[in-house]
Amino acid sequence: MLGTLMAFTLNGIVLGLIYAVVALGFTLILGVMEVINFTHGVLFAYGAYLAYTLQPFLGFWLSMLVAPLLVGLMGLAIEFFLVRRVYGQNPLFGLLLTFGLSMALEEVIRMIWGRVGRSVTAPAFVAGSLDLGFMLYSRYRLFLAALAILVILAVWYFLMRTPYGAVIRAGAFDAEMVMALGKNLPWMRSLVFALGAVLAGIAGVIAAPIWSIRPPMGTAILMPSYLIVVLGGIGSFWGTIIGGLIIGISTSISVMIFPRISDLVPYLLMALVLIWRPRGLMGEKSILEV
Amino acid sequence: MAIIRTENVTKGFGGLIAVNRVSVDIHPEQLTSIIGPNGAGKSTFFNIITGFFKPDEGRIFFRDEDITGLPIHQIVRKGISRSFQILNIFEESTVWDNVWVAVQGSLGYGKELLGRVEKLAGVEEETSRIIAEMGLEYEGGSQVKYLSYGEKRLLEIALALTTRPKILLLDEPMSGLPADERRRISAYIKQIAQAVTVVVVEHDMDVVMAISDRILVMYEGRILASGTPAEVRQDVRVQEAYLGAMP
Amino acid sequence: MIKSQSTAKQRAFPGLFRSIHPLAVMVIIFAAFPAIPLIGRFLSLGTEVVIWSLFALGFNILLGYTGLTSFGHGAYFGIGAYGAAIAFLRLSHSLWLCLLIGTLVGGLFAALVGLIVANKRGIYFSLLTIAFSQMFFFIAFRWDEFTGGETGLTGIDRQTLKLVNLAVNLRNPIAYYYFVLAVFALCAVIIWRIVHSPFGRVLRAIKENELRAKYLGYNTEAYKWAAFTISGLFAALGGSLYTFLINSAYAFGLEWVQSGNVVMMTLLGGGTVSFFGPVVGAAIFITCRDLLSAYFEHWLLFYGLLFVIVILYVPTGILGAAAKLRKKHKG
Repeated sequence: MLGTLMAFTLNGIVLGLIYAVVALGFTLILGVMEVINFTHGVLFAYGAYLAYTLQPFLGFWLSMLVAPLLVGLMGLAIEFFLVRRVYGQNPLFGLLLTFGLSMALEEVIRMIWGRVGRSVTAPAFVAGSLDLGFMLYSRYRLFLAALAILVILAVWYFLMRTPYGAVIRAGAFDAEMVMALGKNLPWMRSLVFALGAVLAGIAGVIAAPIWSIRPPMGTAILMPSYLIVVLGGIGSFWGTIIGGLIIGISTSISVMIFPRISDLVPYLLMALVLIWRPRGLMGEKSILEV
Repeated sequence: MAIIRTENVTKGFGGLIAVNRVSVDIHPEQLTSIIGPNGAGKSTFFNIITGFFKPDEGRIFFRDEDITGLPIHQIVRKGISRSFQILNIFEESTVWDNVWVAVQGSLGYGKELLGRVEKLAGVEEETSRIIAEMGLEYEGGSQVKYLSYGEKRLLEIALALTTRPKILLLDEPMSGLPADERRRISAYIKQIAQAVTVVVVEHDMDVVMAISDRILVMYEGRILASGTPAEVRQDVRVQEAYLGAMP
Repeated sequence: MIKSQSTAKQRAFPGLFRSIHPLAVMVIIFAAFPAIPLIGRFLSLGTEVVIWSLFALGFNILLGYTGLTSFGHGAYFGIGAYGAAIAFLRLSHSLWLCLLIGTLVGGLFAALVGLIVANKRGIYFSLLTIAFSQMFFFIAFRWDEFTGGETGLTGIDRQTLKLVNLAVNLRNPIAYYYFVLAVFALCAVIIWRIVHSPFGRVLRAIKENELRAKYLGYNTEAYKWAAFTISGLFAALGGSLYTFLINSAYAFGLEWVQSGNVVMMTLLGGGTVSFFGPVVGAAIFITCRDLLSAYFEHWLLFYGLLFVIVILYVPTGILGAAAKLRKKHKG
């Protein structure tokens, strides 16, 4: 029993870390541009599918580098050709634009890779399991967790310790700054959008070996992203990470305890948190509420 | 009895304390102006009194009734009204519709889910009266965005007055106005002050000195001095604060 | 005000129809539908258009008139559908009662969610409405005993309707079409009255400048809550009618894609500029969807791109673009 609980908790942490990487990109775009980017999930899916296609040619490491960059380019193109044209307009427009685009992009996945599921095998050096002393655990999942943590730390470093990050952070909290930046620094928006896309792509690539790779996988990961952002608080870095872990762990453990309602548990958590703290766990009063 | 009394009102943003333990009385019979260099906390103080911000500490009383933390619409219903530094009107509507919706609210209407607007008793007459009073009869059907800036300012003050306030707070009513419009608005403010207590935050010293009965000087989040225009003009601390704030 | 109402009429229906109330014109057009041979054959599609028109028209109270983008109203449509289905299977076969229960249950959920989201702004408001709708979806999807889970609820049937001493057999698709149309007409009148009432004026004031509306003494959160709930009631009524159209209820009705669809219909027709926009939008949207899905395997690609094109090129919708064209033509 305890062993199973441990395993499910570990699974939950791994899942939560992937969620956190995805949600980080999502909240970055949301906070800086006030756009709910519905294409974020499908970009995650592209990361996984590209990993599937590229790995036989490029090998694990190189495809792990190339696939997220390609996804980043997709994000850049989406921002440059489409999303850019609705900034400062009714927020509804950005919402519907990316909503429609995500449907179209998901269909493109079906056209290229078909409707059936695909799978990616983990590289040999992290195959099998590792004895943690108290239990055996998948090497790849541990490796994956380490990679996710590395990515999270890199984003943290970028946002908190570099001048670009300082500008972006200012944008995420201050409406006037957003407007000022929107007028003066369109490159920053492109950068943030591309960065968000790269994060979705990375998550897709590294999750590929343990994920069921199917066309709707993108839509499926959007929901946890919403929950995490609402739960953790919009624009809060650590709120997003904590939110990701909470959602990951609670989903995983409820799969073990109440399998029937495991999809529901994160939503119940969200509802509870919202009643208790309307701005989410670490949310500050932001531009997004009255 | 003071119409507005604040006790130790404090408000900070992040590390910066914008308003620092301010306690003042605002008297009903006087036209009070709040002045001070940029960043002195005038607008924040204004926003706290009118319920836009909740103070971190301290209390606000309206005629001895504690109104701290009340929602805006309740504060308005008690008899506090305001204008904004940046024009705050219904830009996409006509003058008529702007005034109409304000009058409708002031007469207690708005909840009639299936009612007919033309059947609301008194709204149409009152709307016509207010528009005539502003001298905008011929502009009634035109969209507000085609009015001059001064006319928009006038409209905003008129909207604020429809709620029949006991006290009206005007946040930089002269900002952005050319000289002749300034004379028009300041005359209008003096006229309003006959019936309603008026508080003004203003940068234009000529206007402030001309219209005020009492001046509060804010500096770095505190009240530095208060008194009649003549007293404030003589005050050494005020002169220093203003000189010090200049580049 | 009276002036601007009549100009709205003229914008929606120029020329010929000017003397008749535009609502009547709309209902007459719908009533003529089954008489047209080609369309007559796709009657259930016609009924679907009327149901979605009702949904979108009610939804526009929130989107077009109050300026709030709910991306979760599909949930109340779906809950209404389940409410009616469950009432039918467990309580009573009376159509009236089932519709009433479906509507009220859906409205109740909208009212509850409205309490939480009414004070949220912009994108955050949308984000929360999505999250709640998805929560309801999962509840419906997992609560087998009550909702039938993945298989949904089937076995619903339209009973004969007794109107005074006239018996109408609603199993006949044409009869049901006209029944739905009658309900729609009644609701359209109610919605027309709501948006043109003093209450509706406050909603428009909130859309234009909520802060000023607050400083005029309006409790804007209460108004926003009311708009949310009212649009939820109409959504739920639409869902209840839909249950009796397809004689079943499924969880997919609650999915956020449905919520996206209603937003799109409302915008596509021109809900932000005209009362009738949502109806035009629903008709075109549903027809397009049916045609695309009939002829293309990867129709979702075009369907998604349709959203993109509308947002980029006709953001005020069809009636908005038509009005602009006419203006150009005149001036």
